[in-house]
Amino acid sequence: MTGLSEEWIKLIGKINRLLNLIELKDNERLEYFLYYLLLKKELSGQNLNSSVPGTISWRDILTATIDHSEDAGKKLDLAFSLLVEQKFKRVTEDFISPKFDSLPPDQTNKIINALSSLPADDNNLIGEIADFIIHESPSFTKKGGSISTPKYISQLIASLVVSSPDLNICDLNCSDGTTLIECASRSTNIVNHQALIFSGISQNKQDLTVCLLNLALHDIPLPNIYTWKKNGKLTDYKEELKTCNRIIGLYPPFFAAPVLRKHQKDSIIDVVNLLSPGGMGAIIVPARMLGGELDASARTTCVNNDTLEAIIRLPTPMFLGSGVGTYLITVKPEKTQPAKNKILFIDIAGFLENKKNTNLDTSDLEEIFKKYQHFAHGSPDQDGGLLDNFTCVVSTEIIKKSNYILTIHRYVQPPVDRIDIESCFWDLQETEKKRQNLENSLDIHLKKIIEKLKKRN
Amino acid sequence: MQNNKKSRNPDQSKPHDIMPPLSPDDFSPRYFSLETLVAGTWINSVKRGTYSYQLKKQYGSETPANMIKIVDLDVSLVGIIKSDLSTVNKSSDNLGGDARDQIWKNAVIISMHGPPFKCAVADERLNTHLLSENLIAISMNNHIPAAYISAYLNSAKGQKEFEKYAPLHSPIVRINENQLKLIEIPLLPDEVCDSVYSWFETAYHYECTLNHERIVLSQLATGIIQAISGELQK
Repeated sequence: MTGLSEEWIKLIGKINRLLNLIELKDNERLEYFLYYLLLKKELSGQNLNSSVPGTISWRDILTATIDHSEDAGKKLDLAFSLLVEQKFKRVTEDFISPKFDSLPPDQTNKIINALSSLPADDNNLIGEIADFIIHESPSFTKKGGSISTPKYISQLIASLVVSSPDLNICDLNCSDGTTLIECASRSTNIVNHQALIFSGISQNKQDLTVCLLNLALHDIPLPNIYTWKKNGKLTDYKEELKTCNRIIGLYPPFFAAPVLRKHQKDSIIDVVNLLSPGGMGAIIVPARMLGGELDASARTTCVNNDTLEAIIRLPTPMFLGSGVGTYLITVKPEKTQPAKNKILFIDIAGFLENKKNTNLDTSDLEEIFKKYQHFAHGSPDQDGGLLDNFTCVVSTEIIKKSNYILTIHRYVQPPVDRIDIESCFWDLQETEKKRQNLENSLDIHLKKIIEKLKKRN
Repeated sequence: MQNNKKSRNPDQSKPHDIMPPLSPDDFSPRYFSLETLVAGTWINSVKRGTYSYQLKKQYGSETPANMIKIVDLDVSLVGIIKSDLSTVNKSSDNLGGDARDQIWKNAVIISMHGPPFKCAVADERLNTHLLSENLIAISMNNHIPAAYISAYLNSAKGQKEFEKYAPLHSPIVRINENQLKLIEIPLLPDEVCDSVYSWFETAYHYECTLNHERIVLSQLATGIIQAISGELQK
């Protein structure tokens, strides 16, 4: 859950209600909210040089709000166009012009006043607010084909992927940009390197705008953006992905791009082929890919070439409109020496079920990361925690004997609680006695009732 | 054609005089007249289930492990919570530890959607559990036992009371707190009330015992399979 205080959650609620009064659609409301936050963040820290002599800052907009209420929208429009021109020029076409001037001036003024109470120097707070409203927004989590990646899955992917300082990440489905933000927060050097994102599953420009705004609000340099071509597949982007050493995301992009489905059987091989020798891919796939007929050839190739490193069963169904199981698989063109001819299986869904929990907490994530590190570097694993029961290292020889089926339940079998038959037997005896006593007392009460009824008659 | 019609509706050919039609008097109590009491007068307090958005906000999930749902209500006799609550891990206590969300002992839990509107008696096991948003818990005055009220509301007459006050404009109807307070419960004459109340309370304990017996039997079956498979593995 978010670490936002009650005070800020109240403020978010207030602004959301004001935007609601403007009668914007759900997705438009989210966008406008993020645009307002971006303007507040950018204009508070620095002034923008306008084409006409002078500058524009948040203070100017606030003054316009107080003095001439009609001017605030115009000032916001001007500030936004300057901001795009001066800082986000590369992505102008993906930003939809918000047209603040067309909104009711009285609501705009109230929103500006509410936003003015946000501290100007706390960029983390603005990032947290952006996270909060994206994850609370119904348009982004349920409707419209957008899927917001749960934060703990983003954290898990980031912890596995960010191992070296030189990162060149490609996110195959931008979603709301959470995974890229998590990776950036763990890497010291991502700023100087290239990051690529592909527009989301739905190929919806509004999703992409939300993603870019989210990245900007988290102070992450905007990456290169590509959209899936019609009938395109990952190998079509060979040139763009040349320098890429990490590929993350949901692939193939199911449901929203049906034309890509015919290529899905080779998707994992494509990812491995595109990675540089030291690279790594962390891809979310449906359960069918690990045991289905369609992907048998891809599985055979991956196991024979020893490129498959870890298979992790995730607790949340992440494919829109279906409850199919989801797996995170990591692939490496060159595995480390201790991990050669072995595959690590971790059943996080079973682990959480056993813990009667729904989300991974920080200690769980650390434990999973340690397990992965021990496997990759061959150091002895002496944890002995609960996760041990849901983890298994299997040699590729065994997988070959199992006809290349990678379904996790074949290899990970957590011990069940042993039931003591004798104590069950005595418990049953006692229960039966108790039941007989109750039957007798039921009869006694019934006889009393009948007697009283007879007397009455 | 006539033959075909007869074969399709054989009941049409039966004479009507086998059983005379029932009159409204047949449904009235034959032994003594009963007074009724409006539920609003014997309900002490009402607690709504927790809304899913609140759950998501508070616990990060719409269905915490310790949630009581409509399917957990078993209405075969008096009405009990049938789920094997012992399977809920103790570590999940923090999910439902908030005193506001706790269900009281001997409260009657009622499903707000129906028909059927299921009713069950809560027990002390439910202290660390939450109610789903389609359930409501009511606590009563001491002189009317929860088992009697639950059994009455689960009976055909009780269900008719629900249907009387719930708006019937769709196949699945919903009753709200205010409509629930209009429901009438028959009051028993003093000479029989003790015996009848005791019978229903004993029936409730009997139903709980049966439920426990079923759970133990199922555990025993699992234990036997475990023992056999353990032998086979050796």
